[in-house]
This record gives sequence, structure tokens and C-alpha cells, in this order.
Amino acid sequence: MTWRSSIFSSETLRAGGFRPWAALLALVVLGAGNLVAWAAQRAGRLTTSVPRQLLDERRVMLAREPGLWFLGNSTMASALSEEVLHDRLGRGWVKAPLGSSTLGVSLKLAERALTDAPSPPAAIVLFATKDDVNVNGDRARVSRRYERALEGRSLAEIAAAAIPAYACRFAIQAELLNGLAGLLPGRASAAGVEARVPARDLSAEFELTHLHKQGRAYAPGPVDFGRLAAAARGRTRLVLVFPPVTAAVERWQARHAPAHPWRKVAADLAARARAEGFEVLDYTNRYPSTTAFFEDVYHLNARGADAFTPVLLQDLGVPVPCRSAAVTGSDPRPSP
Amino acid sequence: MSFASLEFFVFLAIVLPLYYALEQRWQNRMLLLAGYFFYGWWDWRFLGLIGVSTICDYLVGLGLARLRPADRRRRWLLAASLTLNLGFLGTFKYFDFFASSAVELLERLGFAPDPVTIHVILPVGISFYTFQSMAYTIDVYRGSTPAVRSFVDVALYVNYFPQLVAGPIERAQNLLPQLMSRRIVTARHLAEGGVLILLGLFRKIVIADTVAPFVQAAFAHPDAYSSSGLLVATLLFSLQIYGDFAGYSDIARGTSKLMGIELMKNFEQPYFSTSITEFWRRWHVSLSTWLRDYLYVPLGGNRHGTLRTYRNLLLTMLLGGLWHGAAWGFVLWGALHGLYLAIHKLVSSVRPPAPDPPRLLQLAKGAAVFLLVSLTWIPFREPDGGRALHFLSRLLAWDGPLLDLANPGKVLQPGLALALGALATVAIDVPIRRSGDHEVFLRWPTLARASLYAVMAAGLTLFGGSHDVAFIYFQF
Repeated sequence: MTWRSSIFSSETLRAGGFRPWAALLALVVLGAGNLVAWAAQRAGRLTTSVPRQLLDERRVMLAREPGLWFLGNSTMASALSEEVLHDRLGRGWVKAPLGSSTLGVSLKLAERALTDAPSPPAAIVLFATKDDVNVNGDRARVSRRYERALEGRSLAEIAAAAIPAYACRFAIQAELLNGLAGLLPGRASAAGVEARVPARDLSAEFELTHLHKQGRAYAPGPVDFGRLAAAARGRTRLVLVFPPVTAAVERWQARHAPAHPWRKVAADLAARARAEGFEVLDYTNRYPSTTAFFEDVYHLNARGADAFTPVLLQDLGVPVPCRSAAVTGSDPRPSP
Repeated sequence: MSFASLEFFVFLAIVLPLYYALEQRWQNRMLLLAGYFFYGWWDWRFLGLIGVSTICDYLVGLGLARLRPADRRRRWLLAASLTLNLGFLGTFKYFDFFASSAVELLERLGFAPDPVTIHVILPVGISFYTFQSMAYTIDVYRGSTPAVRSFVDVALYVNYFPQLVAGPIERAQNLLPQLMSRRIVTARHLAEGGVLILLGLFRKIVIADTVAPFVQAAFAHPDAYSSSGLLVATLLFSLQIYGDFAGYSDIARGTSKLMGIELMKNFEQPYFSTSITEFWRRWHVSLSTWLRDYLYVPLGGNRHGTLRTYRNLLLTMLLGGLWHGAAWGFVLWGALHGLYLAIHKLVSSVRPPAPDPPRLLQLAKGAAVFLLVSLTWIPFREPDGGRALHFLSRLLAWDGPLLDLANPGKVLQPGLALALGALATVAIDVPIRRSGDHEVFLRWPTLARASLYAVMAAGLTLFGGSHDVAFIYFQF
């Protein structure tokens, strides 16, 4: 093998021949931006998306709150209106979503936060849908990052956490988008929107990609309710909630996983949860499967959240003043 | 190994120092091995395929060089090369499609044939390296390029990793002489290479990957969207595929520049075209010129009368569509473009375009071309013919709420992504278009360049790692 003296032109090798000043200046700007992101993260204005950091933040957040804890994934996040929660409960609640987390991860997070909490919360409310317990689905795949983070810190995570703007990128994206979205004509009230927009049926969305991804090779995995129940030691109410989803989810399940129909999976989960002292609230088919209430087959839209949140609070036994009667009045069915 | 992955940059961090340290002959050997490693990263089993294709075309090249131009055996040699390459392509890419289509047709005619499918995995980039390899033998046959005696050089020409899996489909006349001579890397090469890589990553990760989930959701179930939502999704896919493919080409060119090797430009701001003919001079240039030189012209081009010209045009675009994939959607895409081109040719012959049209008219023509091209992306994005037509009919029905205020994820948020994506694309493409120079940014003042780099790097920081979207053209 022959080595060469240099492939580079003499001009490139000459001192000062290569002057990347603009790149260096850009690096300085980026460094400054990261410093700002780091400060914002420290001040609690930006949330990290690095699993370990995220879990730590959620633990601290939960442990500080003696009221209601709401845990789950985006299904929970979209189902609960923060505006309504604030109206009804003031500050006595915390919503701690973990994107695409399984029920198992939510249970573990609740258990760890409970051990950190100086005083136990009034109630821990965990949300679960059929895909949150599928060991072969996308949520189980994504949740492996949370599982690993719960076990310890990985090299990739340390590297990601070292760049604060990257670690908090979803929060920054959301801030930017919210700022821009504020300019859009989408701020009309839910009731006003309902009057103008005809609802479309979502019940036949069999072929949605995310149903396929999350529901593939459906096999409900084991869920350990016992550890959280033991940590709660009867001092905290434990509640398992099956939030509203469209009929498409149940139909898809019947068609593609006939051995595990949602009714059966839900009944098994409920039985195991009840055996450990959980209360179970099932709202699966509460709302019509239309765009009037749902953003997509799994997630309630703003109007759906406005309607569902007071119902849940009422069923949890939280005192409900009549401030938002106009909104709650749109709930079409009685409580389960 | 995707260009937009950490693995690729680790790979590059190993290959580049080795490349810079070695003498030219050893550089080529090392690059060849690196290319096989790069390709084998996806599926090492298909290395045999690329190896057989390379050996065949190398031997055919040598054989062609030994025979006199009038010797009829040259035709047989060329036929052998084309049969092998097209045979691989036909077997791995099209067999199941044609077999299942034939079975479907026979069933409709009342027969009950046994389905024959082979269910093979499509080797990544097979259409690209097959076309590039065939171009070498055809050029040697035509005498437009000499046969190369070094097997390593021919193999590297077929297997040069920056453009191996998604082009640009290089010509022997451009790439081989560079591979066979000593390369000098200048400061300009390094700067241009770095900027092109940054630009490509920005196009891919910040623009294409960010809009991809909106497109995916709309095409997965168009019934959940109003027509305005479907229009936004269609326009978003236009942005996505351009950002994705032009981004890949930029990274390929940039990577190659770091080694002192120039690859051809594959995109020339196609969405600023004011006619469909101009669009095809600017979109996927390496494929459109390949189809022109090796298909349209041999078919007769425009040399045998008007009717034959239109036939050749349609046939070329149909085959161009089929080149992308074995599905009726791609055939429909090619047919639509063929039809557009034929209509444009007809209109231009009846009423030639004015030499200096008003600016407003140019803008209107540009918008019309963009809209027409965007509509053809529907069967491209949804190659299942039935589903593509369903999407199109839902779009053209123009029903449902215009802004869908109750569901901001359907029109408003995708609309915002469309506006931002279009703004970013225009901000990159306008300076390039105006200057005619893909590296125009390097001539900007230091402060402007620093701002550009900072914005792009910030974009990569904020949007990187959010979506794991493979380059669309890898599937071809």
C-alpha cells in the first residue's frame, strides 16, 4: 500500500488558505442558543425529550403534588383539558404525559414518584387503551427507551442531554408552533366550531397506519398493578381509566386480533386492577366516532376534551362547580 | 446506511482520512471496499447481484473494445449485457407485479390460473446502479467512451458509494475519467462539500421529514379529511419528495466533493419551471437525460414525424414511471407526465411562447405547472391505483370544511407546515436560481454565511431525530 504526501492543493495547505470563519461564527451562535435553552430548561420553561431527563422531571413534578396525578400517553394528554382542570381544581392536579408510553411504564413512573413524594397524592389516575398493553406494538417499542432509562443512563442519552436545544427540541418546536398557530384563525370556541363544522364519521378507519403499527401481532403483555398498590399502601386512591376512543379501534381489533377482542382485554385488565384495589372507569364508547369529538381514531380533540374532563372529574368525586356549563352541556351521554 | 444517520457520518469519518492518506490506486481500492460495505449495510446478500452485474459489464466492455465497429458480434455482446441487467431488474423488481397483474386479468376474463409469485426483497437502489452500469456498456458500444482495462475502476464506477443507491445516475464520460486520474482536493472543494451536505441534511431532515407525518396521515385515510386538507397534503408531498430527493443529491454531491470528485447536478429548482418541458429539464436531471439519450433518441426521438414523436414521448415517460416501481400508480404517474409533455409540445407548435412574457403570466404559469405536477404525485405517493383514484376523487369533489377548525391537525397545522416548508425551500432555491450557482452561498459575506449556517444547524438540532423517515428514492 502506498501512502501519499498530500492530496490537498498547496493553496489549501498554506497557512490561512482555509478560513472557516463563518462556520466558526455559526458555532458560537449555536453555543449561545444552547446556553439559552439550558437556562430555560433549568427554569422549568422547557421540557426535555431525553427519556431519562424526562422521567426525572416527571417524577419531581408528580412528587410535589398532593392532589390528583394523571398519567398516560398522548391519549391522556388529549383527553384532559387543562383549562377545565384549572377551572375545577385550581392547582390541585398534575398531568404527566409520556409520549407513546405503555401502561407498564406509567405504573413504574407512578410508583417511583410515590416513593419520592413527601405526602401521598389524593389519587393516581392512569389511562390505558388496548395498544398500551400490546407487547408487539409501536408503543411497546417506543417505551423500551423509557424502560432503559428507568434502569440507568445510556451513552446516547448523555450525549443528547449535553445539547440542551436538542434535548428540548420538542418543547421548542411546540413553542414555535404555538406562537405561529396563534396567528391562525383556529382559536374559535369549541361550541362555535361545533355549530359551523359538520362532523365526519371516523368509525370505519380500519386501515389507518398507526392502528396497524400499534396493533400488529397483538399480544397483551403482563401488567404489574401490585407494586404501585403496595407503594400506595391504601393511602392513595388508584384509578384505571379506559378513555374514549372511536369505534374503529374496537372494530380493527375484532378484525385483526380476533383472539383478543378489546372487551376481553379490558375485562382482564380491569379484573387484575380491581384485585389490587384499583377503581376502574371505562369510557371506551362514550362518544360518537366522529370528528366532532375526535382528532383521530384515538385522540379526543379540544371539544372532546372539554366534554370529557368534567365527566371524569365528576366520576372521580371531585366537586364540580357550574362555571363551564355551556361546554359540559355538550356531553351527549350520562356517566358510566 | 442512510445519509441522514449517525452511522453514515461515523463511516465518513473513517473513510475520508484513509482516502486523504492513500495514493490514487489504493484510494480506488479502498473506496470500492467502502462502497461494498456501505451497500452491504442494508443487505449483504445483494452484493452478489451488484458483483455479477459489474463483472459482466466489465467483460462486455473489454470484449466490445477488442472487436471492430462493424463486427456484428458487438451487438450480441451488448445484448448480453442488457439482458443480464434488465433481467435482474425484471426479476427482482417487476416479476411479482407482472405475474399478479396477469393473474388478475385472467381472473377477470373468467379463468382461474394458479398465482405465481417469487416474493423477493427489492434490492435497494437496483434501478440506479443497473441504469448506470448499462450506460457504460452502451457508451462503449457507441464508441462515446473507451473501455476501461482496470476492473477496480469499472467496479468503483458502478459502486461509488455517494451515488450508489439513489443517484445521480452518472455517465461514464463524467465519472470514470475522474476515478482514473489523480484527485486534488482544494479548500473550495471542502467548503462546497460541507455546505452541500449541510444544505442536503436541512432539506431532508428539517423540510421533508417534518412534513412527512402530515402526508402519511392524510394518505393513510383520506376519508377523514376535507378536500382542502387533501389538497394541502398533496402540496406537502410535493415539498417532501423534493426536499427528500434533492437533499439526498446534495449530500451525495457534497460527500463526493470532499474527495475531489464532481457529480452531476440532479435538480435545478424544478418547482420554478414555467412549463412541463422545463420541469423535466430541472427535475431528476440524471434520469431524464438518461431516458432521453438511451430510450427516447434510440426510439427515434422527434426524427420520424409528429405522431411517432408523441408516441416516443409517451412511451419514454411510461417506462420512466415504471422505472420508479412496479405498481400501476407509477405507470399512471408516467402516463400523466407523458400526456402533459405531449400537450405542451402540441400547444407550443401551434402557438410558440412569447420571447419575453409579462412577469405575472410567468408566475401564473409557474403556479399552474406546480399544481399539475403536484396532482401527479398522488399516484406516486399512493401506487395502489384504486386508492390513488379514491384520493383524487375526494380531492376534486371539493367538500368538507375549508379550514376544519375543529380539527387543527387536518388543515391548519399541515397548512402551517406547508407555508413554512415552502418558505424554507424558496429561501434556498431563489438565490441558486438567480445566480445559476449551487454554491452561491459561499460568495455571501461572512456574517450572512454565518447566519445561514447557524439557522440550518439550529434547524437540524431542533428537528433532527424526531422522525425516522427513509429516503423515498431508496425504494427504487
